[in-house]
Amino acid sequence: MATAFVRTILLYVILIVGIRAMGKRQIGELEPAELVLMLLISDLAAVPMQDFGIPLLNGVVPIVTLLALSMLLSFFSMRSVRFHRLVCGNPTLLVENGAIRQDALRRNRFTLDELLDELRAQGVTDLTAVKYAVLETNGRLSVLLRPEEAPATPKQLGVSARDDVWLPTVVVNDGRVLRRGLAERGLDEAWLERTLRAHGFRSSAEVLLLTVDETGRVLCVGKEGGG
Amino acid sequence: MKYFWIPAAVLALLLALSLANARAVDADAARWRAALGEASAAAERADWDAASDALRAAKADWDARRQWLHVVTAHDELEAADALFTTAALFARRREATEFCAALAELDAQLRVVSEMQRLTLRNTL
Repeated sequence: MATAFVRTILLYVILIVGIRAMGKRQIGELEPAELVLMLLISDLAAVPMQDFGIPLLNGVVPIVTLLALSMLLSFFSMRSVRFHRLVCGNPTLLVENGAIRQDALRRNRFTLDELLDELRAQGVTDLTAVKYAVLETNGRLSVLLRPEEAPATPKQLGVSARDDVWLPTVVVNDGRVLRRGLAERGLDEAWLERTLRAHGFRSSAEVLLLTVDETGRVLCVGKEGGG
Repeated sequence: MKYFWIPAAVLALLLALSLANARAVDADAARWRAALGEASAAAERADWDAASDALRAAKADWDARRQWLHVVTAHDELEAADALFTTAALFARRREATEFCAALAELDAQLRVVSEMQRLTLRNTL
């Protein structure tokens, strides 16, 4: 039990150091500490589940230890930028003003093909169109285009834009009425009934999705084969 | 600060429980092994009643702690010790001193393994 506890701490630290040493390319979309947590917990949970000769406690102690360690890491990361950088690393600039920073690529074991692949995935085929390409600590590449290559915003064009983006609230989800959604919008069952009838439905059971936004705009999608 | 104290307390609790468990199993194993030593000495004196009594006492003590050991120790190791208790009891009934002492020595080694597995040592950790 004590051995499992200490081993877990050691393995956690070793894996974080290892993942950090591998470079951000290996991480995917998780921070190094999160990735290590996922890797270890999934395995720890599986072993006592399959092998009845191992006490359940041998799986539970390491998992609880890992979760507590992870909470401590988060705490120290929030308190200290230096600690956060130590555990998660820094974002790295891979492309600056259309020029590839080769030393940064090498340091992060990021190949040229992978860089071009990531750029293409974000719709960029011309490297010179890139102002900055930043490899984030979770392994994703953020690409900022030069102003002349980026889509112009109304602000850049000097025109005013109407604010018509509203967050829709789901009121009916696959035939189920979400009363919390109705209450959030200050609506009631009578309103729902009227709205359903107006869209040609007899009951909410015939509706796949019904949303209503802050302006009262309704989206109503019926179930296939329904009314 | 609760985001620090809660996980820190959980870690401290786990460490304390682990160390307390290692100490308790150590003490238990020392008691069982002492009883086995008595049984072995009695067998060498050909005092089979005393040998059987010491073995039975060790087995009863072992059985009383079996449930907890099942929770904290690999079951294979416990089953191996169970089997050795049975073998030793069989040799005690037959009054075969050499085999009885050999079985006790094996059982003693197995109980040492059970207690050593719980200890926080560099060897176990590595």
